[in-house]
Amino acid sequence: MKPLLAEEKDRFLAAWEARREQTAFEPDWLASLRRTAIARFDATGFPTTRNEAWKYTDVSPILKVPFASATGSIGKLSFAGFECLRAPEAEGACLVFVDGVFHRELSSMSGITDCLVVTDFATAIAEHGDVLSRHLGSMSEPVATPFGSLNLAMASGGVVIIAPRNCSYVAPIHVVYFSGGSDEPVASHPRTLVVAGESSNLTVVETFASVNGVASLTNAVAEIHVGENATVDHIRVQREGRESFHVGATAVEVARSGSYSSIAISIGASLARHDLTVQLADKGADCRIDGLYLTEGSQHTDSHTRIDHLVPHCTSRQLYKGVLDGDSRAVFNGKVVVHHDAQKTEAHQTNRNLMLSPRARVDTKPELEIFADDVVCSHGATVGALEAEEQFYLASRGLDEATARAVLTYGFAEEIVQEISVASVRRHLDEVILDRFHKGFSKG
Amino acid sequence: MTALLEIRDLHATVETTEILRGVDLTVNAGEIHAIMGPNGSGKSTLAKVLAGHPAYTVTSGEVLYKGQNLLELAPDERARAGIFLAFQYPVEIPGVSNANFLRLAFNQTREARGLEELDPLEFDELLREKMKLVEMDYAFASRSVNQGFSGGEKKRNEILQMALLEPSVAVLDETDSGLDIDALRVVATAVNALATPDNAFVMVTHYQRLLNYIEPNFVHVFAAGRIARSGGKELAFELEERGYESVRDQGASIASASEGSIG
Repeated sequence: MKPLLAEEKDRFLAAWEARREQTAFEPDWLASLRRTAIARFDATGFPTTRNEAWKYTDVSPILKVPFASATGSIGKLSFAGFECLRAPEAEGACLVFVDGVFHRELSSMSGITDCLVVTDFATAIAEHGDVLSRHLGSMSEPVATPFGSLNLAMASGGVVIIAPRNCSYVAPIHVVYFSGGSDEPVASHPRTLVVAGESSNLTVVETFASVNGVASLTNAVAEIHVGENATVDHIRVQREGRESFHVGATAVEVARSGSYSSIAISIGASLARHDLTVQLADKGADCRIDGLYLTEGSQHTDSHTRIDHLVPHCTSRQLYKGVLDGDSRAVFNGKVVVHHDAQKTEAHQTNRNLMLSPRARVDTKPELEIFADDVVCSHGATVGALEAEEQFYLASRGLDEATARAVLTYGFAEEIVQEISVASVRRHLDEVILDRFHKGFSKG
Repeated sequence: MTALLEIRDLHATVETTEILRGVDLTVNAGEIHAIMGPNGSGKSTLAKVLAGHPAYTVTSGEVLYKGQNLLELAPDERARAGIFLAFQYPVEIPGVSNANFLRLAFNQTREARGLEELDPLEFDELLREKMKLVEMDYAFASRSVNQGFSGGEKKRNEILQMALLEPSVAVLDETDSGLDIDALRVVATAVNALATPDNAFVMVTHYQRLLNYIEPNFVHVFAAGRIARSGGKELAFELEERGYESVRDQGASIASASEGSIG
């Protein structure tokens, strides 16, 4: 019997063969990484729902679409059309990619200071090969996954951010991955690499967007190395159109006394998956990962996270919230592993889901594996409707039932959004949430 | 003149347990009533039933508010009509700023009373004024409703809401519990400032302490789901000295006998 999804896999292998010519200029170390990656993808193939990590997310609808390779053209779109994706705070460092291809005219990099390297992938290969060869694909996750392997094999566009020691870049760096430049369905495999050196300070915003009406596949990977005593604030907004497919993985490693904070928002795409893995690799490392998914109609969104406490004295906090409407489905799988030596660990994980429709469904699986004995850990998940006590409280202040429900739903989502440090991104999401849940409730 | 609130032989249950067993109470405009009594006597239940808490079922009796049947109104309708409950345990609402919530509540109430809504700037001015009254830092306006507030801050926020909504009948459910002396003074000052000849306050309290700051016209003692004794301020001092046992011993006959004196 032929393995499942074998034909689909063959199409992606053929796409890899087709672009070998373009990558002929690449250095040996990269060519070798790519060959290993495509071989691994060839061996594993696409995951099916028999695979535990993909039990609730069937990727076969993605693979039915015959995706073309990207041209990088913005087609009929105008430059002005991209304005809504911009964050004014990041005008000094905004890199725009169309179907995975760097678009210099749409980008602005005037504010990048001497200490910082922010460049597209191709330039980085030529100019920062040493840093790239040390860090690209160096973390076991997400390279080992089928989509991660495919990304490493195929990635041509993406951004490389290198902050040397003591480099503090106050303004956010904005990376826009836009899909659907042409009328044909396109698959792209963008890659972000962030290397934050000792005591450096960065804010990175990744925005994933696409036009409605065109199917696309964005298979994105981000690798983030948080150096000793460094701080990285990462905001990831997936707001693609309703015909798109989004598979993303973010892998983070935090060194001694380093701090990583992440807010992952998933509101777009017909099918979306995001894997976030954080390794707290040395003492005093800390991470705070928050997430919000809003689904409606027939949307499906899947958030997989894993935090590894490898050494003592690290802390992690996680709050993922979801609001589900219509016939939509969501999956949350959050694993926290406290390894044998990781004494004095503090780890807290919460997943809360608000169901607005009786037909919506969420599968939530918080997992805590503790192999050390002197730790403070908690985890929990809730699935339900609005709290009766909260509704009564608002009613007792004169709010009618519909308004009370809208305010509570808005507040439920806003708890995550209000933590976003970049004001324009926060405001945009605020509008999206207001529009969905409470048209009459202005922020004032 | 019609009483603001007339409670007649009110019985209420939670699930299958009867908590209120025939409460009679009349509250007129300009009055401050204190309801005291031991834990579990039903005094907080009365507060929640008046506000329309869905966990309680009224099985018999009636409550007239300005001559109209209060019990047929939904909780939000009661609030807009002028009933206010200061919660014993105010609810936290993450993600909704205090200012937005207060403005929404304020404007919905204004609209229901046929008054003009205030725009955000006008409301902000009013809010600052009322926050001064309850000695709340303006920073609390932009924080999420009650989230991370201390016990005392939550209670002040309740009084702030009361000050903004200007109810006709305000029921304070153990607002004084868990307050330090400064917070208690702030709450009392606000209540005294807000009391007018047109409104009334019903203060449910466990301790006589509050009554050192707010002078009630009437003190009622709850026992076993009904008012066992009513009197003036001196009753509170008697309770302080002799405890609630003395009231329980006197039984229910006194409750009915005292009704006439409080009408």
